[in-house]
Amino acid sequence: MYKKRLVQFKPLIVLAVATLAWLMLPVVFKAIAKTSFYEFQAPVSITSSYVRDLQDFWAARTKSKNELYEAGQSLARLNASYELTALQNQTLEEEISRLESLLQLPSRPDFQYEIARVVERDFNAWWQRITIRKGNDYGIPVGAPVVFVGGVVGRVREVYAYTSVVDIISNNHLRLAVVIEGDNRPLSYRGGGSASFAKPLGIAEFVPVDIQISDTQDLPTLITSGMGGVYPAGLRVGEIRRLRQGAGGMFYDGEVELDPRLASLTEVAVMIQIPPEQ
Amino acid sequence: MKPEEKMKYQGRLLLFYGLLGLMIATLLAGVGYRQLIETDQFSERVKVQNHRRIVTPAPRGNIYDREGRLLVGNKPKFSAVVYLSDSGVRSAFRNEYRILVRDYRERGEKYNTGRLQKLARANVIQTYLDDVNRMLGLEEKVDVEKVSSHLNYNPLLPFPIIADLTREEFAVLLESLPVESPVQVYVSNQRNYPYESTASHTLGYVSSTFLTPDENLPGEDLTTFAEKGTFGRSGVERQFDEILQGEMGMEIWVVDPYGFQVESIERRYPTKGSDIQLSLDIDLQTAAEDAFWVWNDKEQKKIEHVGAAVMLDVNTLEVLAMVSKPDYNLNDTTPFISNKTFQQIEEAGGWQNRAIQGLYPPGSPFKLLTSIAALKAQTITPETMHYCPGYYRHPTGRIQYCWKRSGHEEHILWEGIRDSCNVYFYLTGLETGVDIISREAIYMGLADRTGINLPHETGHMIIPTRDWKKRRFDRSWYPGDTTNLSIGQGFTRVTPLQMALFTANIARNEITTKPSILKLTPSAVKNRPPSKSIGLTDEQHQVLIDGMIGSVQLGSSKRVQIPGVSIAAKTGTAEVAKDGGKIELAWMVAFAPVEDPRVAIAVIIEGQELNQNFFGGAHAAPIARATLDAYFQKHPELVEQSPTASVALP
Amino acid sequence: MISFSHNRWLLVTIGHYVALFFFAQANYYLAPLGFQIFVVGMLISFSAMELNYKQGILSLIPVSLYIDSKSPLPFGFSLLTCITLFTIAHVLRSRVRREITASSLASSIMLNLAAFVAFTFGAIHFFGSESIHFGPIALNLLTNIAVVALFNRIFFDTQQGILLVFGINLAEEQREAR
Repeated sequence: MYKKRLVQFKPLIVLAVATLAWLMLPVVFKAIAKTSFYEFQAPVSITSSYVRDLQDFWAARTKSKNELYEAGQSLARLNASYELTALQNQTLEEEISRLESLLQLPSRPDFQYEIARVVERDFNAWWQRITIRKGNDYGIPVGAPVVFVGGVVGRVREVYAYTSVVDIISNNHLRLAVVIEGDNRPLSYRGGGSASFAKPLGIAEFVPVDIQISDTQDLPTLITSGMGGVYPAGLRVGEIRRLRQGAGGMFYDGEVELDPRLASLTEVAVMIQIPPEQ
Repeated sequence: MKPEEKMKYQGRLLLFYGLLGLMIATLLAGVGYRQLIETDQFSERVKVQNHRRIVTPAPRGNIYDREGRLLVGNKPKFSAVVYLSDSGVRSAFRNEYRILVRDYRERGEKYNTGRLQKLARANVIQTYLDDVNRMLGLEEKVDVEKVSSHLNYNPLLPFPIIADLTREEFAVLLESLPVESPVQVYVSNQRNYPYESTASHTLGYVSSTFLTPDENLPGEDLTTFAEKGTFGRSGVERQFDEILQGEMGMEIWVVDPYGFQVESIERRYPTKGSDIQLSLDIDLQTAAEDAFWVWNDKEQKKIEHVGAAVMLDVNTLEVLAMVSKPDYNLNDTTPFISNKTFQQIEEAGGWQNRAIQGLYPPGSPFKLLTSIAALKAQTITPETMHYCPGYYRHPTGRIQYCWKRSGHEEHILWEGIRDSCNVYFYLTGLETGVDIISREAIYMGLADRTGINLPHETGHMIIPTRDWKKRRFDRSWYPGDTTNLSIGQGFTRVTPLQMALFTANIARNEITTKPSILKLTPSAVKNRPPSKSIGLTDEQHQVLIDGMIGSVQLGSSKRVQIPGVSIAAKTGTAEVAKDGGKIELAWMVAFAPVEDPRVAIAVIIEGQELNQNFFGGAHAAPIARATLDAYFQKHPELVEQSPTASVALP
Repeated sequence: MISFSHNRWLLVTIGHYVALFFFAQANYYLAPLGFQIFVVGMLISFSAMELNYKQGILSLIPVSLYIDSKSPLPFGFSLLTCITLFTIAHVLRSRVRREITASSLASSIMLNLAAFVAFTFGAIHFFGSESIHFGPIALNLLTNIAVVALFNRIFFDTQQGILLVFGINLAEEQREAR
């Protein structure tokens, strides 16, 4: 009788013991377990990413010669314009370094760009992250800024052997020092989650009260300030869509609309800072 | 058991049950009473014990000039703080304390629990500060006593570890500090004065003290931790403090037995104070203040005159500029005035707003009032002629000189004003008498506060009368007192604001006595108390104006001339006794344009050295000119195209 | 030699992992639309309804740790959520007729709902509520209910089919147990 009762409670006892055991487990074991489980399945994720690349390749193979020819032509045109822009950039860079040496300004941090394919998109109502196909093997450091053609993507949060996890800037625990384009007062930007249908959002804090949204076509654009030491200056973050009175009454809080392409990234660039002595 | 024993036993049992039942019933009744009847009282007591209230200040309203330019605003002050109620911080406090105790025990040393607790808390805060130091490249250290006192008195408020972060430091911390860290960037607000010392006395300064919670804030009965707020101490900041204050914010927290925050249950955000718009025009104010700086040959550098200037809009009596020198940089007064700064301002005499607190003998501009009194009393007419040999000999034999010892020959009234002839006004004064002159001065409002909406306007102005002298010195009134009064010397004391108002009243030929530092709406101007007449005929009034125009065109006020603008002015030089010698005061009052008066100005410069010559025409006139010039540059429609706009004199 | 019957949890775990892998691939393409398929409850449901307590919990531990390794929530959050929900479902399973498809569907939907709520509260607790919006939560929840309703039968049949390949007939065992 007594034994039968005990059997009935067995699942609950097991649950209690398991929970207690887990909570008592040293952090180091948990960390090792986490890395092991992640690394164990990582090749599968990477393989799936390569399979997607292959899909793209075969999808391209199905195109007609005419289509490919036209695509090639437009690509050539694009390349030509990019070459021209690159040349202009080179001239401007030389001019900047000349002026910097003339004014004896300290050298700005230099970055090396690691282009990486997106392996997984973990984009839900709770958090927004991506996994990229480069990790320790390419010297990706934790905390490195990640960018794409539309501006800031986020920051590397975890680095594994062949992959890294990047927090998208819509995550609540990601904060940046930003400025409004054309203004030099630093504000705080924080991720604000994702609205319905993958519209990534952010929250701008400490927006000076003289900033107004008068024209919905010409919204104030947030760019990185370059003062925080993580992101170089001038990278686009998003646009302030709405302002409301901030908590202290001295500033506005702004609702920031981020680039919708953040939810469909296929390739990003990780910025790795090159130490000045190199 | 025998039946009788059983009966007895059952009886006792019954008694026992009865007693037990009674006890239980009492208990239940007690519990019921507490639960049902005293619930509110107990929950209230629990609330008071477990809840704490934090009161935060609201940003003050902005102050703008008449054209909407920001004169006083708020500047964010960023600091790095540690939130002491964070569970991580509190467990770090406990761990550090345990480590310290263990160390002491291992060494076999005695320890003081309170001291170790203090040390443990400071050590933990230092580790957070070290992180911030590393991020910012600083080497700040924590003050053990400050941490301890903060935890004792303000455990719910964040502890500042680095105050006044620069923009760059603010940005670095934003990106480097994890969002969930107990160390965060905190923003408070500080008064900001973009024009620094300009109009400092008028604008005033604020000081910070702990807030006294508003009565309408919820949680009045709770233990309250109030942050520091700012309160207006002088000038506009004080006068309109209630409007500028805004509504303070409040947050009620549930706290644990140690007094640390557990959960926020009610929050009210502070509401910024209302903005106000002053009548000041910062362009005119700046022009006037700049003109106080003059080149000094002796010292081979620019020095600043000591004195005051007030410019009024003649029609609305709004103050367009109000200067008092020496002044102080308002940004040095926030967040607090250091002892050193206080002493420096004190030694320079900078705290006094000379425009409304400075009392000076009015000097020659008072001759205009003597003229009004005499004309109204018909002791003179505009054509009354007096001969000035350069002095006046009293019947007692006492001689009082004219400023021009060689004399002015024969004069009629407008010429007397033009040349500021003392003898003319000695004679006029004696003919009119002290009673009439004093009565007229009182009628013109020179014996009372103007009632301007600024704090600390002095009420000690003096318009002497026979009674006043008797009361004050227990002496009779002598003719010499009358001659002195007639030329604005002797006992008479007025403020520069009163003189500006007096000039505006002459310009309009009517008396209104309440100037305003706030920009007035047309309806507010319309609803002012009605003006009263000075009591001069147009012809009589014109004579005064002619005298003032003559002073600008031919007399001592030449330096106020502005091409294309007709100006009426009167200079003056007064004397006050000081340290056995005399200090000269240079006056200038003026209004313009003569045909349609818009602005009136009064300027006074105090001589700084004994027996140094100071003249209204030389020292005060350039300041009046610079201010008027700035006004007419902003109103080109009032400037006549003809470069020499002289008014035809009689 | 490995006894498949005694180590059936391993087969189920692999099945769970494969299911999660396929849904992860779908999520890659669904991300731009703002949906994410979350079917943890369906996996718990299979382990709770079809396996005994020991086999069931063993089948879920690796899968939940795998989910944990990829989630920003503290490591172990999914594990504790999964085994708690599994235990509750297992204790209550005697009250339902397991051979009926509707029972498994109902338990899958309920467990998925519970897991979704647990993850939502976890995210609010660990990351704050400012970035959690009602719209996407509701949208994802509805999507997940639809996905579970659509795939539950296929998933259960496939898992049972795989076990059958290895000689484990769950339906037979349940009949015999009765």
